[in-house]
Amino acid sequence: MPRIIVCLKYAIDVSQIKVDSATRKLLTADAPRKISDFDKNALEEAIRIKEKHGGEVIALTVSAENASSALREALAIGADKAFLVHDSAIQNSDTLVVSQILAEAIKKVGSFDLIICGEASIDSYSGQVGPRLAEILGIPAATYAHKVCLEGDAITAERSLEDCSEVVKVKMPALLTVTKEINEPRVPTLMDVLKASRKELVTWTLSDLGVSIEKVGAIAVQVLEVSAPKVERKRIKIEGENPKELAEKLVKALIQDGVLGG
Amino acid sequence: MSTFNGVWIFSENLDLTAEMLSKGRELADKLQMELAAIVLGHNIKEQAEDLAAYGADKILTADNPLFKNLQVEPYLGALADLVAKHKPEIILIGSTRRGKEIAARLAARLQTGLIPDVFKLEINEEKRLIATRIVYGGNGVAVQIYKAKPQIATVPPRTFEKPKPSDRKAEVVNVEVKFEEPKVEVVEVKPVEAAKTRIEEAKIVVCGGRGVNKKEDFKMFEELANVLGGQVGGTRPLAEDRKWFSEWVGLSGKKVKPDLYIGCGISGMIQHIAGIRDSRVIVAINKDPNAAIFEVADYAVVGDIYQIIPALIDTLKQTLKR
Amino acid sequence: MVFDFTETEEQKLMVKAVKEWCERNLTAVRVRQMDDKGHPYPKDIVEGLAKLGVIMGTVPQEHGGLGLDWKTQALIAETIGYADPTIATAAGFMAVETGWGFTINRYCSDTVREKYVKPAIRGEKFIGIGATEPVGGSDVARHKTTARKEGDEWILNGEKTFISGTEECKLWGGGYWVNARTGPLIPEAAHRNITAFFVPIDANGVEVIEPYRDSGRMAISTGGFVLKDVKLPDEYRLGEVNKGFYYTMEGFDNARLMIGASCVGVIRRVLDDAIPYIKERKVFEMPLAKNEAIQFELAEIYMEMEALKLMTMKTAWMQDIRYTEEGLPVKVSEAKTFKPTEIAKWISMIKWKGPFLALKAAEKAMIWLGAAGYTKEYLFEAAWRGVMSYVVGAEGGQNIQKIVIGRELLGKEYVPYK
Repeated sequence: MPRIIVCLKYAIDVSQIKVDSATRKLLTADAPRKISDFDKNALEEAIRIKEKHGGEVIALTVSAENASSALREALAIGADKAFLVHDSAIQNSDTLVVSQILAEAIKKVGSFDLIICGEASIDSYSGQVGPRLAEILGIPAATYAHKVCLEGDAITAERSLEDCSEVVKVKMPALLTVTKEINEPRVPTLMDVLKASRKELVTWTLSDLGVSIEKVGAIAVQVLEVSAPKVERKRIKIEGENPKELAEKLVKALIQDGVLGG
Repeated sequence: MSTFNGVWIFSENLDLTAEMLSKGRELADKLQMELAAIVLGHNIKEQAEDLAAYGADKILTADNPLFKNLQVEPYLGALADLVAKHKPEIILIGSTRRGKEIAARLAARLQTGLIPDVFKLEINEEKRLIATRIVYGGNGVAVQIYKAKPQIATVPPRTFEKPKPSDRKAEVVNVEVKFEEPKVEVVEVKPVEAAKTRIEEAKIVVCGGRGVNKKEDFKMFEELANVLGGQVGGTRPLAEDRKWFSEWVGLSGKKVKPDLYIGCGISGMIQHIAGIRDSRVIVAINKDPNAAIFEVADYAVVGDIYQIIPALIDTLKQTLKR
Repeated sequence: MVFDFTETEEQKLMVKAVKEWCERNLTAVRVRQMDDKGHPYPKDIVEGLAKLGVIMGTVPQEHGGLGLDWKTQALIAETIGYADPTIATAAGFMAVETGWGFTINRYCSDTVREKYVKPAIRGEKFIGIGATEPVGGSDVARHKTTARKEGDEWILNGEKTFISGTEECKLWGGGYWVNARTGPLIPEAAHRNITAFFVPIDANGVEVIEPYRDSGRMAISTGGFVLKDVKLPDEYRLGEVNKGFYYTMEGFDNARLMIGASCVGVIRRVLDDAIPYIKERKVFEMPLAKNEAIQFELAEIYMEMEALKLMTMKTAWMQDIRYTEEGLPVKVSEAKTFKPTEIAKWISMIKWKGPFLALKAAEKAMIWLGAAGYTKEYLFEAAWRGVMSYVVGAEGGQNIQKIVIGRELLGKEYVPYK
């Protein structure tokens, strides 16, 4: 009967970001937000584990914005309880600070067997919070899991790595990060939505967690600017005497553009 | 507070370490600090010595069976220990999935900042590291700075070019490190299956159009896609008129948003363009210099696909071979 | 007057769930396939819709529905109309199931509810409206189907034509709302003495006629059936004897509300599909969208669409008040907040406006896009053919809607014909 905490990021919906055409600055403040895509996979996996083994699924979000609608959605999808740490002071936090706040919230939520996160967030794609959280809480982690199985007091996870698929076993309490290949997140039914309004959604501020503003302000990285990449197509004509030369010039240009990462 | 000194490079993948050394050298020179590559593994003595030709001042190496299964804790323990002793200013870690996890845990342990998947690194006037990376799913470029040290960044493969081996060799130093036991048991390592992602999610897409003569000719696109690690698609006329396929890439079919799209023998009708316009880089190969697709391409190659594709496959095989 | 146009958190989540389900299951490619292939309507979509909970969502929970209000159901209809602009799903299937199904449930016996309504909510059977006859559609009161009582049974005779979903009903099981004359025809009051029945499609004496070759809404069939001495137990009667006409008007109200809401979705979809093209396509070195001619038409359609949406939501709000205030249909003299005839006027307004505006939007989109918009790469032509069904008279003749509005504005004595 595992108690599973799923960390959900209230992320920027990257498909809806507008750009100021004059300055090429991204207008992220007004962009709509949603539950980060891979976090939905995390939530889905947690629910599947509960359907198989019993237990409880708890959704947790730390956000400068009011993410209660996203947590209500998580409850509709199948979480049993939801916790929101909502404080505008979190505004310019980095992953170091967010992980620390998450850890404090998890301590207040109570004991757990498993923490599940998405492999990375859809807006930042940094992939740090999961491992950082595991380090702060002093628990082992299995990242990039595309298959997960609970057996007794351990989790067996199949990790999707560049050169292999690594099957690992880790004793709980543990943290998992999951890829989108792990499952297809369910769409709640209208009945699920109706039931969600009766489930518990608790909101905390930073002071409820005993986290000071100074602690929050101690960020380790800062964004100097974010701008839109140039949208104009380059229209560069590759010239050459023969196919081999054309191919070589093209490959060189593509390597420089960084698109041959594979 | 003791000062930070040194630019360090680490990856569990030594080819990636070599690539990062070129940038590392540049940063170290600018800061007038020492450049060191950290090599941790099992039975890696020879590889550590090979690495000495790629521009580092020192190779710090530790050889131990604990590193054999590439688990996080042994790397983490060793790196954290070395950092505590030597206090490097900058650490570049190879951005493999293993590397990213190690980097994040290390950053958490050291209570410092990590900027992942950078494509540009520079030192500013205040001698701080400035990192640039793609954010918002490709919609944004973020320039970031650190407020803590060491300044850690992860660097994806092929961001920097491997330096040419030089005669000047680094000093290879065997170091004593704290060994942490792995907390995760590796049960099995399976070879990776060619996971069939949907073409809509593929990072690389090769498309063929009406300029292709026979259905069998798609074999060369398959080969090209294989070398690139991508997928193959066709345009609508090939599906609907020629009945070669049941699906197509285009407005009324599949919309793709790869990092790299290569259109071969495709004229560039708007219905097809609408299906590819979110591609990060568009390459068009067509023998008609006036093909509409060249208007929306980043790289235009005017020529015969039957000659250029084979040449491209050869060049890629040579370049990407490790 | 208090106006609060914000959707509740619950409504937002419901619309989101329906939207996501549609994005996965009612894709543009699937919709095109459904329209190209034609009826019968795909069962997997019905099952998915049933699982979601959208079929007859307004039916009370104790009867197997979700007890949603009409405002929410209208938002859902809009979302489904957006996903399938051929309107086969939102209107052809859903408006019938949800609008008429809800009304059947109000007047049916427990037997009919258990055997037909609840299974239809679960997506297992099809229940619909069989109103039109060979003699005509709009002249509901003069239809020729009759029912006579013999002991505890009714014997029905008649014929219904241009009925939506007959093939689906025959395939899956289910039945139809059928009106029959059960008393003398009073010339000045032809609407009296009509009784409503639920006729199971597999009842003895029911002969289903081959579907027509429709020009649009291809995914759902349009056929008919003949009733030859069909024996129905009394528990298959809907509501009180001789009161059927009023219940039928109520049924039309609910179905037409769904049509109006669906059309809002269709128009939104047509615009969302057309706008990227006109922004991108350059002619005379300028995007099509920069031409005032196109912008002005776009602005007009948009204005009208938003007006239609507001009208639809107000009408849904009136329906909610009506149903909250009383369980049975209100006799005109006992009207509370809104008279049913007032509501009927609004229903007619959206039933008239929705399909015509959707038709115009689809047509204009094709013209803006030119030859490309004329191809089946886009869904404009399928949307045009689909909504035309509601322009030519499905769920009520367009001119009849204007007669209803005229009656409410001028008075009963000005109705040109009864």
